[in-house]
Amino acid sequence: MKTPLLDVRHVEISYNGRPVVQDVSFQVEPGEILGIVGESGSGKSTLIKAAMGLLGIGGAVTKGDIYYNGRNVIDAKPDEIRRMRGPAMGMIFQDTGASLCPVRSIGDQLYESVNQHEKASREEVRQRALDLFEKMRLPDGDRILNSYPFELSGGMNQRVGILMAMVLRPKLLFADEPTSALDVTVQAQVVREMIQMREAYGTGIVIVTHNIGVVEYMADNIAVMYRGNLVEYGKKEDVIYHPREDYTKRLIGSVLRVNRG
Amino acid sequence: MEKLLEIKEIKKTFYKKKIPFVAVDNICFDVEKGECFGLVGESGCGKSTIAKIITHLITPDTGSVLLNGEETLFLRGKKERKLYQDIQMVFQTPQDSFDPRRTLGDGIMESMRNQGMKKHQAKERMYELLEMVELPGEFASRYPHEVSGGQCQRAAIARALAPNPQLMICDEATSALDVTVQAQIVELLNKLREEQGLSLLLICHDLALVQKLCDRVLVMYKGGGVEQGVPDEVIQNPQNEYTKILVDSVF
Repeated sequence: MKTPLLDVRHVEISYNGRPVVQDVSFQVEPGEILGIVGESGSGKSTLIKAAMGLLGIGGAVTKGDIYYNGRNVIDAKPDEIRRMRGPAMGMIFQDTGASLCPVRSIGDQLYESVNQHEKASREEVRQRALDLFEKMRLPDGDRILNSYPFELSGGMNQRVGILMAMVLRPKLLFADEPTSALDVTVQAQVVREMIQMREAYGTGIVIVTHNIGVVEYMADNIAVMYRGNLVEYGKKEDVIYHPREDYTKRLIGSVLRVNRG
Repeated sequence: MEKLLEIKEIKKTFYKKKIPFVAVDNICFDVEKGECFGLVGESGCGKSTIAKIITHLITPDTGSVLLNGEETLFLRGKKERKLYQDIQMVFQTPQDSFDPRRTLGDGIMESMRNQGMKKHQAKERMYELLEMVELPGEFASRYPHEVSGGQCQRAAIARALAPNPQLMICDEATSALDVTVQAQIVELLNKLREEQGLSLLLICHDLALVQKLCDRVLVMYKGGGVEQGVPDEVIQNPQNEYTKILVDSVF
């Protein structure tokens, strides 16, 4: 059997000894999009933070294992996981504007993050970024690279975040509520851009969101989290149209849909 | 139907380093008694500026705002204070809209106490209000950080109902909530509208919510109104280019 890109096996995650995620298992294949949905506090973000080794002080995986391409990331030394973050596993945060340094230009920060992982000249990085901007159909790439985060709108910053994650061409991309802070028109563009990335590079994507509509549009598989447990996991069509668990039924039933007639 | 609120040709310009920025440009609409009117559009299109103009927090350059047929823009003193009671707001992040160091009960009672109501009367009314928003009475002694977002938003609605308002403005009141909780709040708003005859002005960017709750909707883009009508018609048969993009963007 082929090794899955990401293999989460019976994972329990605790903060300060208190388990917040219990017995969660799922896999992501190359080029697959997995959507993790559930209400706030259900442990969605904690899961992807654990896979990235970003749980922070007090947080730890207390049971189970997480494998990236067959390599156990929980046992990995800090230095090793640091090298994996970026080229192997990329991450898009909910509020990219806040995760960027306010006093340095976008281009500078982009160069820094690439330079940590590979020898590349400023010009090469710039060219690669401009190519990506073009792929994302964003005009004015040069202006964006010379801008500071506060000079850009929320939507623009978010796309910079996607670009920063994509410029290292990760095999696996984690996206934590990437579109929640955006207007619907911008959200639609960002979602299409992420799908394009999958098509162009075969990136596996794990998207954490509470927006069922987005997941329905882009995901192949869906995992439903409720109070730290994985209550339902399966093909998108099965989960959305034939939910088995009560919570999933309630969740899907609460989604307001636009009736286009 | 009787008109509760009439907005006539309001315009508001902000200046940043003396460069004018027209936030609201020639907006007209009215809200009838017992109606739910929706205001949709992307961030920065002027929705919240309109709310601030209606609530008398900023003054428009031109135009007029009528409540029950009476011009509100130049009210002062007693009449202005009455206006502040008649129009109430519910905000996006409920936790931030309560004083973190005072209980929810205190927050709900504050406006009544300021009106000169006796403490025991205010308390009685506060418990009635909690019941109205389907919160157990014990929540009166809780602090904002001790309750969930949905519960806190219910308390915020109770607080808005305290001065017996004629119009409630919900500025993205459900956007920060989980979908299951959002559905409950929507149900509550609908109930209040039917039982209390409350008029609602719903500011939001969620077309599905507007379609479910609103009788009429105004779509805004860059400060101007681009389309107005019954939500079903606007969504199913958008006339304006921007409205089309907006409707197509919803998954």
